[in-house]
Amino acid sequence: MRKLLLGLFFFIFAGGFLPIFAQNTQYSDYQFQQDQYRKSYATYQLFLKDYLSDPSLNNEQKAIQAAKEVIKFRESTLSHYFWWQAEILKLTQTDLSLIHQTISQLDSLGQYHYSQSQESSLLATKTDLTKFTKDNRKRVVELDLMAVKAQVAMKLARLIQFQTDLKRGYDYLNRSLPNQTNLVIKNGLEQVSTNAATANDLIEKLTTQVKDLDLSEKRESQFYEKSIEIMTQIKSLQSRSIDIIIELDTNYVAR
Amino acid sequence: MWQDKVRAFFLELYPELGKFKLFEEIREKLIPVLNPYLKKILRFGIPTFTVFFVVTLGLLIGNRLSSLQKSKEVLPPSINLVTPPSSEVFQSQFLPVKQAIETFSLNLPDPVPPVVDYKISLETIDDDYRF
Repeated sequence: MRKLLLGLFFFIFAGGFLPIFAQNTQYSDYQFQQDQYRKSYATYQLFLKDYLSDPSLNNEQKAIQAAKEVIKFRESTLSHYFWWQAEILKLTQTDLSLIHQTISQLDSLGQYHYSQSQESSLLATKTDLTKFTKDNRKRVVELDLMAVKAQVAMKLARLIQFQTDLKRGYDYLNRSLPNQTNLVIKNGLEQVSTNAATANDLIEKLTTQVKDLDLSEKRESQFYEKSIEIMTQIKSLQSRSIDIIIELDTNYVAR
Repeated sequence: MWQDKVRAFFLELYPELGKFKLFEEIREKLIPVLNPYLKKILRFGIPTFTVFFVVTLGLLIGNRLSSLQKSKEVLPPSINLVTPPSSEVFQSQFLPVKQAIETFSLNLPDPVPPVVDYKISLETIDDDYRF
C-alpha cells in the first residue's frame, strides 16, 4: 500500500514536471527570454522617461534598476538566440571545417552574452551603467561579424545537405541503369554530374567568401546580397539536377 | 344417429338454423342439453376458431405451394461498358528532396536576430559601432 502511494505520488509529481522538460529547447528558451526582454524594456522606458523629466535620486535608482533588468534579459535573449542557431547547425551534421568553426563561434557568442547578463547584476550606479554599455558596444563589430558569418554558414550547411541527397540519387541511378547506351539516360546522368561539379565549386567559393569576410570594409547587407546571389545559382543547379533524377527514376528504372 | 345429434347440437347453438328445411324436422323434438354458459362460449368460439383455422391453413398451404415454385431471377440487360485498367501512379523516392529544395528559402538573415536596444543607459551614448 505504501509502495503504491509512493508510486502514485511520483507519477503525479513527474506528470507536472515532464511537460516543462519536454519544452526545454533552445528555441523555447529564446522565445521566453525575448518575451521577458520586451516586458522589461517597456518598464525601463517608463522609468527612464520619469528620470529624464525629474532627475531625482529616487527616480535615478528606479531607472538604474529597470536598466539592469533590461540588460540582463537582452543579453540572455542574445545568448539563447546564438545557442539556438548552434543547435540548428549541429542538427545538419555537416562535416565541413567552416560549419564546425561556426558552431564553436556560436557557442562562444552565446557564452559571452550569458556572462554579460550575469555581470549586469553588479551594476550599481549611473556611471557603471554607462561604462558597461560603452564596453559592450566596443565588441559589437567583432560579434556582428561572427553572427553574419553564422547566418550564411547555416544556409550553406543546408545546401551541402542537398548536394549529399543529389549524390545519393545519382549513385542510385548509376546502380539501377548500368552500361546505358540510351542517349537520354547518358545525357541526363552527365548533366547531373556537371551540375554537381559546378555547385561544388560555388559552395567552395561561398565558403571562402564567408571565411574571408571583414565587416570593417563591407556592410552586412552587401555581404548578404552577394551570398544570396551565389546561393541562388547553387539552388537553381540543384533544382535542375533533382528534376533529371526524378525523370530518369520515373521513366527508365525497371520495376 | 350421429347426423341428427350434430344437427341438434348446431340447432341448439344457433336457433336461427330452424328456418332451414334440414333443421325443421328436429326443431320440435329438440331438448336443450348444453349448459347456458358453455353454449355462449361455443356459439362464438366455433366461428372464431373456424376463421382462425381456415386462415392459418390457407397461409400454410400458400407457403408450401410458393416454395415449390422458384421465381425467375430478373437481371438488367448487360451494358457494354469499358472499364479502364487500374494503373498505379509511380512516385519517385526523390520527390521529398525536390520539395525541400523548392521550399528552401535563401532570405538572409534567417532566423532574424532579435531586435534589441544596445544603448541602455541614463546618459546619451553617441558612438556608433553598429552598421
